[in-house]
Amino acid sequence: MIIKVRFYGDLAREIGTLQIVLKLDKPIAIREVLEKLLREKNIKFKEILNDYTIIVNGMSVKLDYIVKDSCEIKIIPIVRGG
Amino acid sequence: MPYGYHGNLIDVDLSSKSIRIRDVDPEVFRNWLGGRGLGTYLLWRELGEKWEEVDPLGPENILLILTGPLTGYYPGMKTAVVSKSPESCGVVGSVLSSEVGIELKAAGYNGIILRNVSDEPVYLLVHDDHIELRDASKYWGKKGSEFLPELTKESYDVIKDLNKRSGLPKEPAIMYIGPGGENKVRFACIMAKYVHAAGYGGYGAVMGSKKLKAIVVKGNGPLPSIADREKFRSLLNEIYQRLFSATTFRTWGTGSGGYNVGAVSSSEPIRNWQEEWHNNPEISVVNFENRTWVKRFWGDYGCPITCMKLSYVKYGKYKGAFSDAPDYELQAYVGTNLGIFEPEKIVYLSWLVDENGLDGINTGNLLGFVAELVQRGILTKEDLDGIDLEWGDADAFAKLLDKIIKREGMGDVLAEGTYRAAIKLGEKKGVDLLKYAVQVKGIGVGAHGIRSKLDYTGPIAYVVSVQGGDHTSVADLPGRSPSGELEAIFDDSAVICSFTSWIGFDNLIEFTNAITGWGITVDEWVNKIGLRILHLQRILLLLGGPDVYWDPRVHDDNPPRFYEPLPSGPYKGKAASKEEVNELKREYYDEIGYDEYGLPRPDVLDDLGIGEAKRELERIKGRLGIK
Repeated sequence: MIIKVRFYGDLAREIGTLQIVLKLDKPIAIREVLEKLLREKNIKFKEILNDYTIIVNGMSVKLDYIVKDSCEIKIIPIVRGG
Repeated sequence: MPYGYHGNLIDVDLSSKSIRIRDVDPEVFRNWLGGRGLGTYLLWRELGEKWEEVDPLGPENILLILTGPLTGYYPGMKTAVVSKSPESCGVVGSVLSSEVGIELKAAGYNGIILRNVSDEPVYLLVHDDHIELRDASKYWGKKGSEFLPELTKESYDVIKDLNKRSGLPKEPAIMYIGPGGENKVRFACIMAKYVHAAGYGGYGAVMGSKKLKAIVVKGNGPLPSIADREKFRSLLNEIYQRLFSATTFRTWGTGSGGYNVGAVSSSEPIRNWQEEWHNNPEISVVNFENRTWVKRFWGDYGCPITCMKLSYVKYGKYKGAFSDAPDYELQAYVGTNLGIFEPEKIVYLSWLVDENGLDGINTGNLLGFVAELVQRGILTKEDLDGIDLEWGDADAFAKLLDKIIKREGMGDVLAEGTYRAAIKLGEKKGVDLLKYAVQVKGIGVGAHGIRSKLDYTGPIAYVVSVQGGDHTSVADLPGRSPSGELEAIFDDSAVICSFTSWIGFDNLIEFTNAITGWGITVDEWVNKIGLRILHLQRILLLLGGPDVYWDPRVHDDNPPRFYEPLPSGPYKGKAASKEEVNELKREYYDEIGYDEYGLPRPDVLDDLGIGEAKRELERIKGRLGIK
């Protein structure tokens, strides 16, 4: 299964790209996907995600959400607007 | 009566001074929730047949102050303001941080309808079943800090007098306007607590047109019963814990944006959006912290986020100025967009904007537009009544602002806002000035650009939004999903803060059900309730009038500036693409239920239970020459 992860703002800079396409063997919790991704980039998972909202296929979700084939994940800073 | 509601509204005729309590059919709440949704429905019912003729600043417009089902139950506090907007001539759902909402509910009401015009300045006092219009002549013409303490004392004394036998209540909640609203500056806002504002919409001007200086509310009663107390408790606990985890946001608020959105995302307005990148550390939030912060954690009723920071200039030329800068939008619009990066100058201009009751975004958008016209030699010092306007000159911008607030000389044209000023000045100068106006459908674009693609605002974020340039109501694909505009509509209709609503959309729906007992689903929100509100807002926006009208074939577009390549920074050369925007727009129309012209489809209106709006749709088609 294939999923897309889209980054914005600081996180995009730290990851070094706007979007990553991932191949997964099976549906897994979004927490696992992001932990792995961020670990690879040496970014502390907890620090980052406290201030981001996670949108999967257009709906904000919690970290235990199970991502499935062709999911599009957006990691958006909660600091938008003012 | 549904759980979470009182089922009524206070209906005030400012002309006849009559006040009555009006019951609302429980089904209306189920179908439209509250806030933006309920307001859109009420405006349509009352004004829909003659919408195009209704002057937003005339007596026939109505102003709605509304709560939502989550008011008083969900962490944080917002109060919704809805009316026909003097900016877009559609409906703009606007919210401000004010306890007026919870006080209204505690007083036994879901909202207030204000109609017609008072002969003399008044304020409305609501204290449980005591509702009266009181003389506000002595407050008229005064800025926030010049009258709010006195009004608070006066109204508090009245309330204490009414409560002689029931103990001392706390101070009332107050929302009010400044001189900008009194003088019907189209981008005037409704204020609370000196620095909170319902900015988008221009409703300070509507309130001013009605000669209503303030609304004061104090309720002593309980909130309405809720459907499932146990579920409510457990969800509330979970939500609080989640919100408490946002430590960076709590520490810095939106204040890091002034540097980061420019330096990192290349999406900050700089000198009227001629650039979107800077690397100027002067505007760093740490400089605000070191030089101006006097309060670090400010949250309104029950808010665990406390993102608000209060700045006060302690020394120098601008000593005494205070504001909630470094709020990001203010940093950007009265800062970088005017070529200003120094915290003290930003706090000073924010203070002027707040004191006079203006929307900081649309004010900075307009001032930047004027400064670019000066830069290009289109406007001269003489045109500006002797003001020598240069980028970075806070004093010159303050002088121009004063003229706008008073509608003096050139200020009278500029008080009409960027879009209308661009048309009027363009006609006078014989030049197309709309290409310098960074707005969509009469509303200045929020301080989040689209060219670098690194910000949360996508290519059609503003293009198809039913609130034009409003960065809090941006559209996105997939259209029918609880993100983008359908999420914003939920926040504004449930009447909660978007900074506390990111806890998972299904949680929000569950929370709503715990309060109301309705059993609505995410799918029902996306495909029925939220979509119904969106379509009706779209219809009223496209009806427009009486002075401006929108044609989606022309106006569903980005400001021309966004198609110009970024001139600097790591994303230099990037620009929005017309082809991409058109393609995404078509996709959005299709998903959301619009036809190829961007008009709501009649079958979709039927499906949403607002088939009667086909009457309005026919009028739009007639005007646009579409069969």
